[in-house]
Amino acid sequence: MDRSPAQNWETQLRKGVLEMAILFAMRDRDRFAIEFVDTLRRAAGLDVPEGTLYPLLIRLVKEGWAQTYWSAASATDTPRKYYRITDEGRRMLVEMWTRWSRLAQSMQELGEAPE
Amino acid sequence: MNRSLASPAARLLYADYLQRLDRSLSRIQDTVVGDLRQELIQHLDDLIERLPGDELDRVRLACIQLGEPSVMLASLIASDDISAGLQGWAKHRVISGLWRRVLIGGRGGLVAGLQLAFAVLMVTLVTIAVLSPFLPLHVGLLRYPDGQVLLGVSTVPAASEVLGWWRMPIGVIAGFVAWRLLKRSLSPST
Repeated sequence: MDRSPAQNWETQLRKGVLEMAILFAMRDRDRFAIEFVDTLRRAAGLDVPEGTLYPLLIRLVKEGWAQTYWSAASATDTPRKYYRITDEGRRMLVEMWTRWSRLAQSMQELGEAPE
Repeated sequence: MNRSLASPAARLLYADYLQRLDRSLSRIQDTVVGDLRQELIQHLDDLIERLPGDELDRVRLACIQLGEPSVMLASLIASDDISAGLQGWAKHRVISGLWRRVLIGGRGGLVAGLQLAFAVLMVTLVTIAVLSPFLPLHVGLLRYPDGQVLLGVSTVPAASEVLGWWRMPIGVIAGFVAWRLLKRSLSPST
């Protein structure tokens, strides 16, 4: 199905904010990979294909913004790999959010300015 | 296989997916591989568990949703190729990694395309330097009888070569500088 240029633009925009969205998703509690897919779809309407998610998660770990550990909810459950935001990740998230807010505000002012 | 599936067809599909996953993972030397395999299998099992339909449908849909391993891991394989090429002796892996990034596309693909062009230029310069004593009219800045000028390597002998013996030091030095610049441009992203 053909996508309109506006849809393509929105896709690129959403891809650009994925790292910030994943860090936000980890802010309150540690999560495993499939939970990111669910949370981001439900809370932010962001569709994150697994092909995009895993390289991104690995990058966050390599950057030192997240760390991982294996844990099972109970003794009978299969262990899962959880992602936890680090202090450095939290600092980065604040930085990203500040820049994002500034950009969004500029765009809003530009859009509301009289022609 | 860490999952008990009742249907032989579903088992076959599942095993085939794991085989393709292992094939793709075997191309990555990064330390994340062992962890990643277990994590992806867990993800696949979760999808099979939650998707609707009969067992075979669920396995088929889960494999589709998780994605083709070679595509899903393409950016990791590319980064691994580049970092192995930069650190080890198999420099050709840098070119193979850059080519993979070009195929992935997007902005990263565009940058990789430029880096790839730079890498090809570097290989050409070094090839000119190395082959010039043996093939003096086939490598270098070649001038043909019809006025055409070509920088590089050609199977057709030229009428003359413009740089002469300077092509050896020029090729080595320019190739080395190009390699250093390429290495610097690749370092932050790998």
